[in-house]
Amino acid sequence: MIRLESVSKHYEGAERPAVNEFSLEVAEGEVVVLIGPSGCGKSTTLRMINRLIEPDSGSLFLGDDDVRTLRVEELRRGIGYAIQGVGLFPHWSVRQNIGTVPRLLGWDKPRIEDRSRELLELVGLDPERYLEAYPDELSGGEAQRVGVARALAADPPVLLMDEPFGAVDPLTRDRLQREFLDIQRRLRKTVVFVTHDIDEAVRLGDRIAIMRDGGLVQYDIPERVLAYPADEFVAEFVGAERALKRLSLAGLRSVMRPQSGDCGIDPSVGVNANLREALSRILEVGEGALDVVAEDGCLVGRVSIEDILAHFQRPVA
Amino acid sequence: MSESLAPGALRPGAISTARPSGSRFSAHKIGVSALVLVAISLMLPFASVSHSRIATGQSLQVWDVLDLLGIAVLSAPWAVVLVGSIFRPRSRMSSAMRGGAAASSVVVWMLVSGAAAGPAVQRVGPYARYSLGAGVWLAGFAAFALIISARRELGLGTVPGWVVTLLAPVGIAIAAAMGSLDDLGILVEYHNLGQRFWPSVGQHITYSASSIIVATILGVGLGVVAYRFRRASAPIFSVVSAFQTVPGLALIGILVAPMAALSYAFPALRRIGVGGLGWAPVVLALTLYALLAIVRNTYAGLASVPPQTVEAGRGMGMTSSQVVRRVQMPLAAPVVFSGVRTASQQTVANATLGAFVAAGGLGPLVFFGLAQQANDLVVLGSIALVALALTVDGLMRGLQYLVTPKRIREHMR
Repeated sequence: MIRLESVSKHYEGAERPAVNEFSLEVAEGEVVVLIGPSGCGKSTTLRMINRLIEPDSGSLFLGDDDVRTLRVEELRRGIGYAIQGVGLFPHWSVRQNIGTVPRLLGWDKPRIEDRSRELLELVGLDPERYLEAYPDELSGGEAQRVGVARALAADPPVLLMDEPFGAVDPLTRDRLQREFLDIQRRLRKTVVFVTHDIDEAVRLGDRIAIMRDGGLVQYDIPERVLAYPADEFVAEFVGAERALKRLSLAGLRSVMRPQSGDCGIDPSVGVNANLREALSRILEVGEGALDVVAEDGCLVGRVSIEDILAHFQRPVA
Repeated sequence: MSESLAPGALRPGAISTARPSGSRFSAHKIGVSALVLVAISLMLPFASVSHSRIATGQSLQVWDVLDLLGIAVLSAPWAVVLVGSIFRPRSRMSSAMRGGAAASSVVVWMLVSGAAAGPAVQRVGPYARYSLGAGVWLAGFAAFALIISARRELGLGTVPGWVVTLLAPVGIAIAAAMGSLDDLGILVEYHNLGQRFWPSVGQHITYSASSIIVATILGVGLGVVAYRFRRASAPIFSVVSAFQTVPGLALIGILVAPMAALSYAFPALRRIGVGGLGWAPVVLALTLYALLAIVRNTYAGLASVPPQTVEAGRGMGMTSSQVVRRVQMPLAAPVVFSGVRTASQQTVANATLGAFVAAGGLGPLVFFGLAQQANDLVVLGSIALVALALTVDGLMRGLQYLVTPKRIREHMR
């Protein structure tokens, strides 16, 4: 869906290129997270896709079209763009902000209004309450939600998100991420997402592209990035806790040994937990193994530290 | 969603009345200062009476002109100010008392002067003139300071604010229209000017307004160009700044010769009145003069828009001119307009220089008055200028309010 071929960008006066011979393919309906330390070129790469920055060399394709063959405004109107909350227009209400691209595309008023309501509901904000609010009346989390709604307004197949959840507290960010996954499961957009937070990358990305000094170091699914870091740099970047991060990606359901039995068991762990949470609970209880219960509190299986270890040692496909 | 929307959270209109408690006695500072000034003003000459309009006058103290009743009438509004400055000076009631009394005092002092002028003039002779003394002006200044502070305390857009603001000018206008002030030297000069006064005001307004309109269109355009094209900004700023370094009068003088040459070369221009003398050099000079403030503020206003906001606009597919029109200009509008306001003030003042190239306006009143040492004529011209400047300022504030996007307004006040 999105293809970058040997793209380079060297800013005037900079010592080395910001992006250097960078190639990447993003499949339709996937979330690809660009991540790396400051100055690695992730934001530059993102902005070259909607031509906010023009590459010095290389080609970028959106579907089958070279982005340079499209009129730049047309290109951008067809791509959702979400940045940190400050990108909302302060002199426009939420309704006007969300309607930005639809207005540029010449939609009529009722259609824009309906769409704005629909999107506010999608991002979990009550239209009656928020449609006429102004950005300075919104909390950080609300502003980010409106930013996402605005990016989705014209229903673009592709979304570019530049640290859209960067400026909020951890609790709000957690909720925003969960909602994002929820929305993405329904809409199946092709998303390129920039962050510097590895936990966010692991959680949201179908694939993670780790960048360093303008180049691609590793491009893989989160489990494999965590299990098989390409080099020292990646290993260090994903952090010492990478084993635990991997556990958080695996659900308990596929690892436990199914059983059936009584209800109202304690101590126990819920079947929807991930392996990291299950391990934590096992360590807490201190018995090496624990009963697994369904939402109704009835026994559905049992999991032990050995099971988790065995799962962990299986190669990641 | 549990995050709460708090529409009232930033309502800057509410003024906190809480004061750090230190001294128990907390009189209104401006009120007390104004009262001190008025006390001094009663010691200063209240009027001067001369044999003719250009003769040196003889100073008269307030007790020379007025009996005790008259002095009591002068003092009455200030007694109200005294009460309003000491008794709960922070309350709205007290603000209204101070502002209302100060504004009434202006009218009262003028009426008392007008009533005293007739007999004083008759005593001296047929061509005698009665001019307001330093004491009256000082008291007027004290009243003005109080009106301004009360107006702010009461709120600019509120009914009491308007009453306090308009009471003095409207009162004086009514008193003048009814003839109660006809014996004052200023009014004598006004009547002598006859048909010439209001056309002069009209010319002054025409020159100022046309210069400001042209300068605004040009200045905003140049400001946008200077902002959009980095390479153009240095030349644009050096040219518009250059005009400012030339004194206004010199600038008009410089323009006389080229304008004369133009009108000589193109008779069509001459027919619409373009020439070395008259309105053309004045309007041109005023326009050039006004440019800097407008260009500078347009540039600064555009530059003050956060880069992320601009990038959001571009990233969503606005063309560069859409970004300027829909995002940058609305957000820059308050700053741009404060430049237009500054320029307007300057222009109203500089338009007096039209006197030197036979362009009319209020300038001739002031300058001819000075040349003839006819002080009342100078004062008449100056009062008209001040009134015009204040009116223009008020109008410009109103316009600035209107061009500012609703949401940005609340952060301005």
